[in-house]
Amino acid sequence: MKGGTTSQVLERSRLAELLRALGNSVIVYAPVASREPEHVVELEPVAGPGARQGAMESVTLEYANTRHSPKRLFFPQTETMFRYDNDALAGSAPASGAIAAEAPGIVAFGVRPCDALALTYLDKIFAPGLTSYGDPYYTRRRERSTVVAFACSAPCGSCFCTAVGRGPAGTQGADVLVTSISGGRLCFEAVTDKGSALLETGASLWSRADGATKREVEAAHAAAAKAVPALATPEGRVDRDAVKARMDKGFEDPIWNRLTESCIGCGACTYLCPTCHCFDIADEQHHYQGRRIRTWDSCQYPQFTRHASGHNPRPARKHRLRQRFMHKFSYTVEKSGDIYCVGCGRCVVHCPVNLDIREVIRAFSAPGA
Amino acid sequence: MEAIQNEVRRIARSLLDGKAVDLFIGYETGTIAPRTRPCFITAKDVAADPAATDRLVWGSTCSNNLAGFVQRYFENVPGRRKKREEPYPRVGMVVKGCDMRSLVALTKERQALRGSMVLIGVPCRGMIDLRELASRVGGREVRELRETGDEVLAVAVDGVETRISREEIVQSACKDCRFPRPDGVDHPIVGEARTPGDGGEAWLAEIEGLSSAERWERFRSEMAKCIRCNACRQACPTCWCKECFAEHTDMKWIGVGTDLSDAMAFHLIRVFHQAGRCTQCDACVRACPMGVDLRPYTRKIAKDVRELFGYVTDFAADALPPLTTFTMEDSDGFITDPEGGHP
Repeated sequence: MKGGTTSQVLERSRLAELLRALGNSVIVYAPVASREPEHVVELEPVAGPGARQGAMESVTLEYANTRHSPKRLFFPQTETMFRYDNDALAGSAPASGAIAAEAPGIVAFGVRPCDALALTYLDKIFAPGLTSYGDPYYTRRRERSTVVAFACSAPCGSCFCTAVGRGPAGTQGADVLVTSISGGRLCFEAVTDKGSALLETGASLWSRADGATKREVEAAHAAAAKAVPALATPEGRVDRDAVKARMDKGFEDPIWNRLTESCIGCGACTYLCPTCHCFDIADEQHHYQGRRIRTWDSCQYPQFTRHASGHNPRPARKHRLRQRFMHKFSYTVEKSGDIYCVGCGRCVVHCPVNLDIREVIRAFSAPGA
Repeated sequence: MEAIQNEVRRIARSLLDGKAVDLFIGYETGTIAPRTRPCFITAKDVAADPAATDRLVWGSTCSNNLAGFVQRYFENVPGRRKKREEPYPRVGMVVKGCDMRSLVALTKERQALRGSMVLIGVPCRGMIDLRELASRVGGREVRELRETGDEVLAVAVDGVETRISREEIVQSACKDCRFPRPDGVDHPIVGEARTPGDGGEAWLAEIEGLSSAERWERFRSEMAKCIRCNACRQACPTCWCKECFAEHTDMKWIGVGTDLSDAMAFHLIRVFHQAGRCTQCDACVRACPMGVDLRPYTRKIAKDVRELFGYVTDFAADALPPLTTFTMEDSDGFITDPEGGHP
């Protein structure tokens, strides 16, 4: 998959042209400033099928990160898996399951590097590999997608990608990495073959990146990495194996009681998290017709683990909060070697009680914890 | 502000030192400026470190409604079949007007034991709306908030300083608030409170004056933002049902997905369940990561309850909330004469 070393430069003022050209064959998502309040930015279709009229005019590159993570482009919150009706069943015709196959291709422009990394974690869950089961709905969309990551220039106080992820210019999960440089220019670097193909769109839009440009890109990456607040742990980053070992040993540690004190038990953290991927499956039926849907679910809800008998192995909020962190810092490490946290900081910002995941990491980073 | 903060610390310290309470709930500095967050200090913490109460802060971002945290300490209240053996903990808490009114509502519903609580009442000047603040500084990350009188100075991460009139960025809940000074507390702190508002009825009247098509569009577009994360419900101090109707699976009232009709049903039923209990503290609005504006609906319910049943969720400990009682004078026009009797 490793592409060439293609680097090309695009004027910021011509970005819309590029996005429109890409939209000839696929849906192009790009960061769009919402109308109210305008500082909230989301990835929205700006070109291709389903694009909102006027969305292209609201494309912005002035954002820390999008409010939603891009996981919903590939793993939508509500997904119809198939529909059925009585007549089809009576005639022994299969339920219509071709819905995922219809999924159009996607170019996701402006994904932050932390979120691109998160997609590689979702791939391990949903694409065949880690298990022998591939999820056709997710895989289909991912196969037909190109992720254009946008390197961060101004990390937030809630960012900690350098402690758990690959930093503000990481290329994991990205097909192209875009960096904003002087003179209102954007430098596009192909990371994969798909990325190289994207850089061949609209030949007249580009100019070649020279040595000075490449040096400027490198300097921008280094400055951004330095600007990410260091995690207040002894190492300044997450010691994956040590945190896992301490969490495993500390399953019954009273620290969990303290960490749970302020938790109100909502699912905002899990729904906004780029790596949280738990789902529920439900049938919605009206008379003799219905659909089977898959929806996001959250380990923070009591019914998440409630058995049909009524027994609940995670009856208390403490158990559910512990599950969320153990899943990210122990169970996934055991299964795939990865911490399922990329340091995007969404849960830090949006938690109604400011229950900060970095403090959980810190609690299990201290020697003797 | 600082005088109030010192008083809160002093009283909390003496309560914990003197074993008058086992636990004190207040606010502390959050991890992302300028936020604060709920803070829990036990008598043990103070025994180990006498300066533990210095964590407590008071300022213009102490928005969380703390009343929602006490219900868990008073589970199995007397009168229920299952009696608990250990005594209830004694809980101390800082309350604004809204926290106190929520506590009164919870006490009436036997979810809080007033006799087991020691309350410090703070006069409230209104809390700052952090989203409004973010808008005012163009979405920049605010690292510091300095207040001088009626002015707020926001220092952004890039060093840009913005001066804003405090009143312009006070939360809507606080501007609307009829009860900025808590009543019925054990330790009232003296200080300036804002002028009481009208419960939001003036701006609500504007919405009521819209055509039904316009109101429907408003409702529809707000509900379309909902991601069903339940943050509104969980942040609400009076949403304490052990099992929410939205979670029933044997008799499923609403779907689990993001279908617009499910989001609408969820919010409508939740708001109706809050009739005579909601204090319009806007904890739901602040908690929502998607910025769903539930204010018109909570305000409307409060207005209806006042007009139909003469009940206001104030500080009165003895008035019975309309959902728990009835009188022969209760309005029933909306049942017997739906065309003409509805206010």
